Amino acid sequence: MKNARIVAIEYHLPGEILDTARLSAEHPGWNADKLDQASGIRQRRIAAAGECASDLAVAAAEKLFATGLLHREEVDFLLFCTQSPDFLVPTTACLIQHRLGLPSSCGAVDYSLGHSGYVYGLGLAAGLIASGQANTLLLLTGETYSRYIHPEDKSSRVIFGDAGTATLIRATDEAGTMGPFVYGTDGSGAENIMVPAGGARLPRTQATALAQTDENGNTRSENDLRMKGAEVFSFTLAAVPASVQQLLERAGCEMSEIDAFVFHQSNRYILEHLRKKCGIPREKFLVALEECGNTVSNSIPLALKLCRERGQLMPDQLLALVGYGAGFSWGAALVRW
Amino acid sequence: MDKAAFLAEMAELLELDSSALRLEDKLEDLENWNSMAMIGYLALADSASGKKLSPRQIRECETIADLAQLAGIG
Repeated sequence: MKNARIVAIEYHLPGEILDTARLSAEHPGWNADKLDQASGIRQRRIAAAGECASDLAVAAAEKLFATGLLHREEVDFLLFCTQSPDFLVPTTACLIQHRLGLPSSCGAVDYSLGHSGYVYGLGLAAGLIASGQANTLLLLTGETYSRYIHPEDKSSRVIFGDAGTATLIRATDEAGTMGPFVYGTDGSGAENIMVPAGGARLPRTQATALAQTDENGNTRSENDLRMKGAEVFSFTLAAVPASVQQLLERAGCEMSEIDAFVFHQSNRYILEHLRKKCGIPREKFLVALEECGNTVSNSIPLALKLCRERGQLMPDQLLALVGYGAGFSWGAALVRW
Repeated sequence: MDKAAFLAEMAELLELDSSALRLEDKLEDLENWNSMAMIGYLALADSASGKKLSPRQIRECETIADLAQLAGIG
């Protein structure tokens, strides 16, 4: 049986910068300095009008091709994780197959997950390779949550940034390159990170477009993203340490054998609490969100690549990845990259 | 963590001088008791007792003393 291996990761960030100074100028009452100090986010990158999540992912994929590590005709499967598809129909991955000039023998599928999406994508890729269905996969993530955020919603606007990433995954005979995996789902928490209107359950109407201000001073309509911070944090406190524990048990390894932990980059305050709660040494816990914010399913591959560029990660290290968020959905995996 | 330490931590979360916060203070009267402070309280309670709390339980609290009791302090 073949195993899956991450060969390379590339990313693309949109050009517009929403930094602390701009937030402070636009919203003097928000105390953006203090918020950004706590979250560790100094700027977010925002997609331009008309720039889609797929555009960001395609730009990242083109960077992968430019490395010369793979040829377009080699790709036999394309996975695209997004909650910002180009159209309701058809599948955005099909459009990306065409744009990237991938062969027509290539399978292509979208899947909708938020902050846990990258770990699930690795799991799907590992399964496709282990079952002999694919050898060379592109796992793309792309997200433009900024489109879903009301400009007066402090709770989300200070956190989220847009991004796209591309990961090349190949079949290998080597052992221990990807897995085990741990997954979890609690749909009872669905409403805590949600865009209520715009899908089949609640189509957009004039009524859903009416903005209201909540008790914390955040303004949004049902067409916009809402995130209930306390509920999300409470879920995270339960799910993340347990999934780290399960992952180590399933792998039969000690924490000391892991070279680095890369969690979904939610915000520094929450990450630091989770690090302490899990008992992970500071030097093994990577944080990379200062320049891009919380980029949803992009955050883990983005952090992996940024940390490699900064020299905080070396090739062939054993890494524990943990994604958690909208759904509620979470997943953890070991990878050697 | 004892009640004095809890009060000091809560005062910091609420951006108050530690002598200005009392156990009997009502949450609705505290200007900075908001969603950010609630996240801070969740982290504090988690560190202090590891007890799993739901935001609904927190919203049912009326005073700082209720929060201390919910966190299993004192």
